[in-house]
Amino acid sequence: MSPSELFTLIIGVALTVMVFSYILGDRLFFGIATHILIGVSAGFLALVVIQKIILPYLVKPLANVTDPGFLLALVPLALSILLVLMLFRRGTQAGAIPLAFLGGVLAALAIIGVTRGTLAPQILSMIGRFEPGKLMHEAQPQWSAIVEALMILLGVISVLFAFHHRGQAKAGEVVRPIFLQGIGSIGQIFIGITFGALFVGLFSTALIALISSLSDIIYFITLWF
Amino acid sequence: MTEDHSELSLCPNCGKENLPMATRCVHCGSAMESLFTISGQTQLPDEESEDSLPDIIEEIRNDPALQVPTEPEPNPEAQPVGQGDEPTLPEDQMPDWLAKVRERAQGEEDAIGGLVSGTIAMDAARSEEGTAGVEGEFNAWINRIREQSQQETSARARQLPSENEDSDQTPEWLQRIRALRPRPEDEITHEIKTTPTYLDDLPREWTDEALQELRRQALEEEREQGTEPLPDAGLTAKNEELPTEPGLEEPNVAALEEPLLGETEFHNIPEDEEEFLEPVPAVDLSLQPDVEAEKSAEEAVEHELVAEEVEKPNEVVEQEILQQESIQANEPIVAEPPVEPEVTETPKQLPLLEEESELHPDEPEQESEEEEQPEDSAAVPPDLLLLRDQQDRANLLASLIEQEGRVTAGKQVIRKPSGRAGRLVVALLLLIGLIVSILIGPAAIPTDTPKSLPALALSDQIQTLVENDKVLVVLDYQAATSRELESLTAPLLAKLVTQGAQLSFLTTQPSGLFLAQSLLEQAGLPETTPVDFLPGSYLNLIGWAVNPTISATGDELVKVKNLYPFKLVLLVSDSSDNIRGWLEQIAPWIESLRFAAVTTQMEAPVIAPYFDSGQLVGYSAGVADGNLGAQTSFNYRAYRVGLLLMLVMLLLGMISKGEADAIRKEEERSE
Repeated sequence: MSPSELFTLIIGVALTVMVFSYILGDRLFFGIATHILIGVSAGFLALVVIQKIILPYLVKPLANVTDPGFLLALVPLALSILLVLMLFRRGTQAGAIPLAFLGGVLAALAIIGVTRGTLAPQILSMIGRFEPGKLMHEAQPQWSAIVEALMILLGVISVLFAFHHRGQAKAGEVVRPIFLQGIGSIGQIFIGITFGALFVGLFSTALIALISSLSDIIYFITLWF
Repeated sequence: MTEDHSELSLCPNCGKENLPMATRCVHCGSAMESLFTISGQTQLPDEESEDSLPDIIEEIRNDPALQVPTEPEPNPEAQPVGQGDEPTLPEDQMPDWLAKVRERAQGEEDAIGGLVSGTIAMDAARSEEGTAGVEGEFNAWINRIREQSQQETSARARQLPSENEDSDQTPEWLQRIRALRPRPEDEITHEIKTTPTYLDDLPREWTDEALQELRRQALEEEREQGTEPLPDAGLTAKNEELPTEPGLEEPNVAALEEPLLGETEFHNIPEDEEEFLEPVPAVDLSLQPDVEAEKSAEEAVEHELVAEEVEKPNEVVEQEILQQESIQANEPIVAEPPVEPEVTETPKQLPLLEEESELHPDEPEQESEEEEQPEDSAAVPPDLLLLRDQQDRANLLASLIEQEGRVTAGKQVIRKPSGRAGRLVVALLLLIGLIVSILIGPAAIPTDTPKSLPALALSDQIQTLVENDKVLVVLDYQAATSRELESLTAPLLAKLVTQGAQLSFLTTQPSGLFLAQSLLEQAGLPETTPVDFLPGSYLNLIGWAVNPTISATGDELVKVKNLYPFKLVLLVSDSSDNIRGWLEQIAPWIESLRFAAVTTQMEAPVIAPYFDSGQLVGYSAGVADGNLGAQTSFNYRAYRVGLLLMLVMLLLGMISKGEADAIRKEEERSE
């Protein structure tokens, strides 16, 4: 093991132990480790942004007037200046312009993307499960495929109704129809199963990370014995 | 409280109301003349009574029914003594029983002399001047104490406004109640004064028991010296019926019973009524029962005596105690009117009382029966009579007044458990389990562990790639998930390299620039493999995807200028949002481009629908889909132990949560 590797290993083990001290209620070492992480990450991010974004996309085109991207680079420059004006009280409204432009573009992209990339394909996929060719195989019904298709359809509809809260207002309370309440309850079951699967995945991911860190620490300790 | 004002007597001096049995006016102190008026009988004026008395006598004399039949004057010799008032009958007409009675009367001294001799003796005893003087002195002393207490309370009530000028917000009724009640400080001082101080094991405050103990000691000493024992005052008093007023009989009886109770520790008081035996600290003396009033009066006198004695030196006190012992030894019957009113008998009364007890042997039984009977309210002066509910209310009021102004304990804030200790225990348990599992030794995942269906689909898609097919690898993950994602991606990259595919690397995260080095190392790729940073992630590539011809003429900074030549895009990401963004923003524009993903197990359920819809040709997630179990740095046993511990924790948490919810619902129902 090279000295640089040993040094980084020591630093890594020390920071890991400092983070683990939060379990025992310690805030000092955990705070130090957290601040080190945030500081290093911010510094590295700033370096990357300057090197990979600002210099090639803004400074370099503006430095050469004859560059075809010169005029195009003026747009991000103007938007950046307007964003900087948000630091001052009188420039708040001016700073809203690039934010509005950015928000509008992202919203348009999201709507188009969700429609074309999620809703339409998912609906088509759900409908496609009821194609006769998928439900029947050699003139015999594929019960597993049928049940799966029905369950998916039921899950989609019930989850949609679970978020449907409209109803008739009676005595200050919104009363939903009984069948909507029943379907919504089924949808809540599907949502609960989904959250359970997400939690299991989250714990599994965290457990893998923990085992890896513990293995590194134990390996580091065994180096000295 | 429940006094009948119609029975109150008016003071002839000031005209104010007083209790019917009050001897002196509590307002002006003048003597009350109507002390022994009989309740229920209309009292006529003196002149009228004097005028009407002869008329009544005259009517009685003139009543023919009451007239004695006129008979010839009998012979004084033949008439027996004592039968002068009886009508004389001839001996032949006289009944036998009457003849026997007359014969016996002649033989005995007096037929009714035995019955009335005791009464005559008692009358003689009552007529003794010393006894009368003691009784009068005792009554005067009781009256003085009552008057003094009344005057003190009234004076305190008058002084209250000046004393509590700053407490303007206190209502007047409460101030008066406070004034009628002794202050706690006064009680404390009172208790300090009455605290018995001992000198050579002899108490300064001589109680009845102490005095009787001294008398017993003196008697024993005298017996040892051969002298005749003196009669015990207590026993003497026990056998005597005091000719005092009815209100003083009960305390005497109670005082006489005290030694017996002390000896046998027996009482007929129910256990649940013991609370009524507790002293009532804050009740006016006028509201106390007779016994308690007298006890408090005795204590007041004793306190004064003790207060005087406290100032004396110890030697003087010791001498006085010795003198008291000698006096009590020589004088068996000590007249202590203020302290022990029952010991008011004189030696002259004792023979008479003894004779009476001999003549009437059944009288002690009657006395004992009277003692067993409940306290007659008529025997207690009405001004000192206190009903039980009145006493309870007085106790309640006193307790409320005592608690006033104190810092009362507010509603206890139920501290909810923070769960910090529970979290610590769970964390330590998990850590210990993992560490032990790691220390046991390396444990690789079995090679025959089945992979998931998306992972198999991904393997199949990679198998379809041929040499020189371009594959874009997008690195979009953080350092925390690098171990899991790298273990999943490295085998795939190695396989792609084996098949001769051309790999291009992009990273949308700044940290991907150095995290890629570890991935390349695990995949067996050279460290010089270029990894480009793609700012803005997939949004940066939308222009290329929408119109690649326009985009290709501009930016030369990014080596990946066109997405159309690529056969497969492998998204290595720990965020399902980024994977979905690629699928939503890029995939619809390029139908020939296939997308696959490598993600964490946490994000797998979210991207599963995209695999079902065919937008993803496959994805790999979890431990089993990669070669993580085959790595020496990863302990599969520890992974299973961690899952088992967390499963137990989840079950326990569900049970405890269900129990807590049930308890909460039960509490809500009860409320």
